[in-house]
Amino acid sequence: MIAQRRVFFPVLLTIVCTLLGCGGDTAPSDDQRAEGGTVVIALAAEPATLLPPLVGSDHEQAIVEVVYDRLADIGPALGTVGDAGFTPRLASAWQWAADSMSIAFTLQPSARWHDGAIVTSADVRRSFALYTDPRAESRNAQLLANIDSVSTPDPQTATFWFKRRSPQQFYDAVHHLFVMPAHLLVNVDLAQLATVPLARSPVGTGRFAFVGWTSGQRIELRSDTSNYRGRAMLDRVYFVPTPDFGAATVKLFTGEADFFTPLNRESLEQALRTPSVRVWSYPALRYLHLAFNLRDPANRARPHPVLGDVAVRRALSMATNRERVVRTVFDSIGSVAIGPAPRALLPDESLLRPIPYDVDGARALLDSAGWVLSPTDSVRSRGGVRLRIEVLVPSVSLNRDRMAVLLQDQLRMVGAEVVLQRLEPNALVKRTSKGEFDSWMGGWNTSPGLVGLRQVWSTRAIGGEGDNTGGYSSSTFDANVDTALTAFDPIVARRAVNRAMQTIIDDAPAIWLVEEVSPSGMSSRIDPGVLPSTGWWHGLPDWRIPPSRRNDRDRAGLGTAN
Amino acid sequence: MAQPRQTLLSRVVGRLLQAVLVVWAATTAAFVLLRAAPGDPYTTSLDGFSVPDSTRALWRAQRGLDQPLPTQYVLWLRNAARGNLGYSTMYKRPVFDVLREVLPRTLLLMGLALGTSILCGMAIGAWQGTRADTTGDQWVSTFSMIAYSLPEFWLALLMLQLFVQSLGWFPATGIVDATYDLMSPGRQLLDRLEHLALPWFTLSLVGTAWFARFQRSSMIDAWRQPHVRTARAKGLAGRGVRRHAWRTSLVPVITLFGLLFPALLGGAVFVERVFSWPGMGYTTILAVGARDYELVTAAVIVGSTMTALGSLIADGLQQLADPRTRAS
Repeated sequence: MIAQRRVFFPVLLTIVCTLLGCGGDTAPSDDQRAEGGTVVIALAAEPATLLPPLVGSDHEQAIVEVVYDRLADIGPALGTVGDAGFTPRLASAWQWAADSMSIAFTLQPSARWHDGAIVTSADVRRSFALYTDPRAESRNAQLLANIDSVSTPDPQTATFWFKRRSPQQFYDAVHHLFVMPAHLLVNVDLAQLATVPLARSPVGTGRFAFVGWTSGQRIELRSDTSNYRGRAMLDRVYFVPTPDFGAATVKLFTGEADFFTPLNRESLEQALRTPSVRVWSYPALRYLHLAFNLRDPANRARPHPVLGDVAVRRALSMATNRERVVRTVFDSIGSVAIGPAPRALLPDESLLRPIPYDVDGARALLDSAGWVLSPTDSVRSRGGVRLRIEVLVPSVSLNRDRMAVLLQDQLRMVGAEVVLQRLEPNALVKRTSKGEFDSWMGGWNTSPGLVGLRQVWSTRAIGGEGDNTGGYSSSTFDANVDTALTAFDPIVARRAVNRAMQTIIDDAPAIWLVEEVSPSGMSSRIDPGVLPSTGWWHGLPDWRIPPSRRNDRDRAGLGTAN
Repeated sequence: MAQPRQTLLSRVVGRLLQAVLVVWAATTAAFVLLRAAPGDPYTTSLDGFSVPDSTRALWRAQRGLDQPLPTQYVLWLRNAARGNLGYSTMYKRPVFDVLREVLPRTLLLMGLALGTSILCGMAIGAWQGTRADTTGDQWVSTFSMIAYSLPEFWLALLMLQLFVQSLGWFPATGIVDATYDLMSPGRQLLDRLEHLALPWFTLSLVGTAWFARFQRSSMIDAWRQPHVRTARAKGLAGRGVRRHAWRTSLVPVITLFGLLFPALLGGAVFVERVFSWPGMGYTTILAVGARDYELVTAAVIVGSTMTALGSLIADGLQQLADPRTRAS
């Protein structure tokens, strides 16, 4: 298909091929197999490492997830309480201790590393040790903090010992930890963990095996045909770094790449008009908001002179037409956010009452709080303090910039002055982490389990050990989040989540703006099944290209593959 | 005979020392300025959950970032002198390994672009200089003026839109196709050329226009020189006169060679990004954003060395072309 598309070189190609005596690069093969095909995925950036404890971005995660295995995988409902919904992966079964303080995982007896070695419990123990050693620079270490140790009573059993009982302890043990081959991680200097060969030549147990990484160009995976879970449906997958967004979409539309995500609003429209491309969407576990600083930037012990007042924050929320903001900026690839967690993680979203859009109500609320307009000023003031807030906007995000401009206009209607300050991300993070801001166009990538609520919005997350840079503090919210994360009774947990969410919605420490949907462009040759919200890559081993839709790229090199 | 040689040697040594000084100054400035900018390699990412301050402090200590700036500088200088350029926190690899991969790609692109710019720019400019103010000269001048004023990134996007998306003549990005390893040697060669074509052309176009403009005006000046007039008056044929005039016109144009080096390096940043050409320019920009201190500093060493070398080569060529500079 590629050769057909490029018409500029056919004559030259013929001449050169004749001179060099080269034949075609396809070999006779059985094209009618259900398994087969090659997929090229355009990545927004090149991975820095493929060592599981060190991966941080989606493009690294996508590769690690299909090369390595967890002990068990989270179910489609994203439940994190107990082991309900989890499906066995590298562990074939597990046994809870009577006091729930340990879980013994029995490993799949037929599981082999891609280099042929047998998977043993020593691999699990070694992996845990690498993840949790602070010298290893793993960002997941804190997520494994409730696990005390891993013991190995026999080569097929790995027992996780926990510090305390928790509804999420099973999730903690399996979701944040990929099992790595201990025999390839012997005598490793943990301070130099990133430089081990495994970081650039991963050896896992997943249904795809790593083949090669040509820096800056491509990472190649092939189906592991002897995998204990069965081979992947595709023969090959290439991950091609394409940092320029426009170039990545051109690759998609010209068939040079088969998959690219996420599309933006403009490229989505083009994708919908391109017959060779289909659009698939899945909800991203991510929300964007205008976060307020509730503490005085000059003296964190005092409330913020403007935003410390809950009436002001609620009024600003009421004055914001969030539906219009989302439609204008995101159109169909976003929905109005409910609160500090995406819908996919909320058990009863319909029970939550958002702050309504009501401009007159916002004006009345500000009037009653003493923020009044003077005849000579279009900006409200109280006691000599003007209703003026500075909004920090990351200069790299066009969508956030567009939203900020709309907010500036909408809040002006109720007498609030919004000053936009566009900053490079490092400069922005420096200011927010020190509390030197009024508000900022923020966002959070969340994960199943709602632990993010505690990590970002609880009182204990204020200061250097958490991400509560705005200083929001509510004992009601804290108590309900604690209950939600520690209750073993699902009904009690759900009620606590609802109460916590309603509390923080009413306190308005932010204007909850948008939950993004991730639209992906995919070649219409591919049948991907379902794209789960935990990441499109989860289903990659089951993507299929029916024989009738295969092209030259799918057939290239057959006979040598596998 | 001995005296001029000594002078030349001392001049070369002097210029080399000057180049070393330039590289050191640029590197030191990069070292200090980057650390003065907000953030560091372990600053929280924009939307990701952060790790506790205590853990981050440990990571900084492992990389020596908790030391006072002068101590960091001395350590870095000592390591650099031993050939150890440090560790890239962004790529999680030694800086040397990163540069070893990305530098040749940039050199290939820049080398080809520089060669094309010089050859085509000189030929076009010389042709224009001998036909100044004719219709052909005016057309070419207009075209080169347009090409000269186009930003590289815009030109690159235009190329992408036209030759890739609309005409489908070339692949969009990268150095080779994903399935390169499965191709026959002939196809591999073509694949490389196809991928090289647009970035090469984009970078060369601006350089060619630049050279052509200077070569043209230099050629016009040379054409009016007394010795050229004399040669024409003595009945020397057209080609011979043009050769005399061209040699005279070379001196100011050669100076451009040294200036084009950093200009091309700057342009390569955008071209490399748009065409996903994994070279040094784009890598450096990413490293600045990620506060990858040691990679940026090493890239500055390479960039400033290339610029200094370009200047040295230009000086040498100038002396070859103009005997008067040798005498002085």
